[in-house]
Amino acid sequence: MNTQSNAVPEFPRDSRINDSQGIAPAAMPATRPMYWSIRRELWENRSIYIAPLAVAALALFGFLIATMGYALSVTDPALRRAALEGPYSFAMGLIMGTAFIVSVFYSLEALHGERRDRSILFWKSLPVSDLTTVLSKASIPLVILPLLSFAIVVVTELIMLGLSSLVLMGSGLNVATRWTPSSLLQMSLMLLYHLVTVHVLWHAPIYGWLLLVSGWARRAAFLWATLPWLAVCAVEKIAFNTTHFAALLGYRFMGGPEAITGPDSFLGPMTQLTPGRFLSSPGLWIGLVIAAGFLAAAVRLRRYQGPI
Amino acid sequence: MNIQSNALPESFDSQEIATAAMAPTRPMYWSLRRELWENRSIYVAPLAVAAIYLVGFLISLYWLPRNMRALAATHAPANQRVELAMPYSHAAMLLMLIGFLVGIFYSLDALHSERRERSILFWKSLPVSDLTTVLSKAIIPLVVLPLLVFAVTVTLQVIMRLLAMAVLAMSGVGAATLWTRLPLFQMELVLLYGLIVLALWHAPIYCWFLLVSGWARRATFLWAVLPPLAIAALEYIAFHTKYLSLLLQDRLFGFAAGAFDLKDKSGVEVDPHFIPLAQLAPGRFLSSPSLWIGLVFAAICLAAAVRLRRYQGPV
Repeated sequence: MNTQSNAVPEFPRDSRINDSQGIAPAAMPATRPMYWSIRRELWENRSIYIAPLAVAALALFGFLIATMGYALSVTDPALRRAALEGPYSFAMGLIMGTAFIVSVFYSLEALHGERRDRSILFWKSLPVSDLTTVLSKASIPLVILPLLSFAIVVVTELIMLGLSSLVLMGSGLNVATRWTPSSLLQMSLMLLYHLVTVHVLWHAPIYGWLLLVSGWARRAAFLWATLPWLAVCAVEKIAFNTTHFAALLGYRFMGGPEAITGPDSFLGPMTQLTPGRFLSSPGLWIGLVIAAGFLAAAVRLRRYQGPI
Repeated sequence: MNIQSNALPESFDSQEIATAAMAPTRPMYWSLRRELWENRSIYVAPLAVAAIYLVGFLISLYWLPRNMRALAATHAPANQRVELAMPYSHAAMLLMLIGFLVGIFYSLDALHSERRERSILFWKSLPVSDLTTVLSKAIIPLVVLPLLVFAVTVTLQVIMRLLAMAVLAMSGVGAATLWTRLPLFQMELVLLYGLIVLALWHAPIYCWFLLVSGWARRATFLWAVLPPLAIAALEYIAFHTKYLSLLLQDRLFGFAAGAFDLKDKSGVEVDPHFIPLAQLAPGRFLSSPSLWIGLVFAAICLAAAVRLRRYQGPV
């Protein structure tokens, strides 16, 4: 790379293009292609940020109606408080659920869409390795979407807190509900922990599998991704009348039960968190190894894939 | 058309005129063939699942004589029917689920992928109207898939029954119990009725998905699923009511309560693994307003999809 840069004739030297800026991208190939690949994914799949944002906006709109309409119309303070406190965790679950659906369908589409619309020919002509491409696509559900949904949830809850404080103050009630700024901070930490443990580490093999199928299947990626597992469950049930495999899938989907104790996952004290038990559970590490295997297979596969 | 045909030289025979004359059905037939060629998952998925299920059933045949003896010892003859019907009805339920999944993802893809891969330019260049194309795509989940699921399920059940009776006859338990306790055509009739009910009840879902697939530029599944869910959530947050989510739930699962009497005359709940013919309630199902409202909604979605396709090109 360096020799190539040196071999460039001197005439554009005066322009800004071939200055240190021009040489710098060639010198740091490890991070720049990754950065621009992720930018590409965000440009191509705007649903990644539009869908959670739209759902958050809808939740806020509903909350506005609830505060302005419903909560102000009831006179019982307890009822009014309940009406104002209810939507917090509901909105949180809603945004995270949306992010999960977006992640699943993004992963199924990621390596399939570019083959389908033949743009893979262009993308493979760029000096970006298959590893970088696949990793950038895997980082969307594993890094970008959790961070994004975390940010959206926190902002949504802050706006809701402001609105409900206004309403409570205006009606002469004590502002200190269950949702004080300090409890909101604690909730954000719990939420971040939940996102990292469950949505990223625990679900990583699911996304790895979906990416692999999306890079492999010629059509009907969703059917290829789900039907084999369903079929295995059905065969086990009919042949041996047992449901071990279905229990295994459920265990993976329901999210690391080792990460937390207690039922009320976001409102309880921080002492409920059990990161040590989570990190030492074999299910986590087996899952991560499987996810890495799926991703490696997807990288390997992309080398030989063309348009379909 | 006639003037044109007459103006042609005589080597173009009556055949040419015949194809031009039967325009309404031939394009439809070939459009359906096209869909089946392009989307082989329509028949490959049910067949593959049926084959896999058969393998599992073959393994389970090893325990069948023992289970039959245990069943005869623990259950009164009148109660054996549900237990005996279990593997057959599980097969039917599994294949219905597969048919639903295939139908959903077929509908989401049907009008979208031809725009995505630009083949819509070719298909629109043919003398096939948008109406024919969209109808042929709607017929796949509404007619072809249910019929296919029915055929595959009945074939699978017949093979399973023959295998089970052969094993029972050879092991000395005797095949007569299976034959007499499990009436031959009853389960198949209930299955056919159930599939028709399901197709009618789910028609608005399929047609809505077709409309979205013809309209959305990307992320068809999200466009199809998120707006109803988001509006339901909005309703819950804003008014603390659940009308829309109950409506959606009823659209997905309500066919069971609508089309079957889930309790028999003495008020005992019917086991869904074996539904007697007396429990079918076609009259009530056909006279329920929500069925007809759903069908009207489906027709509106289809009309919108036809209208939309006129202006759509590659995305």
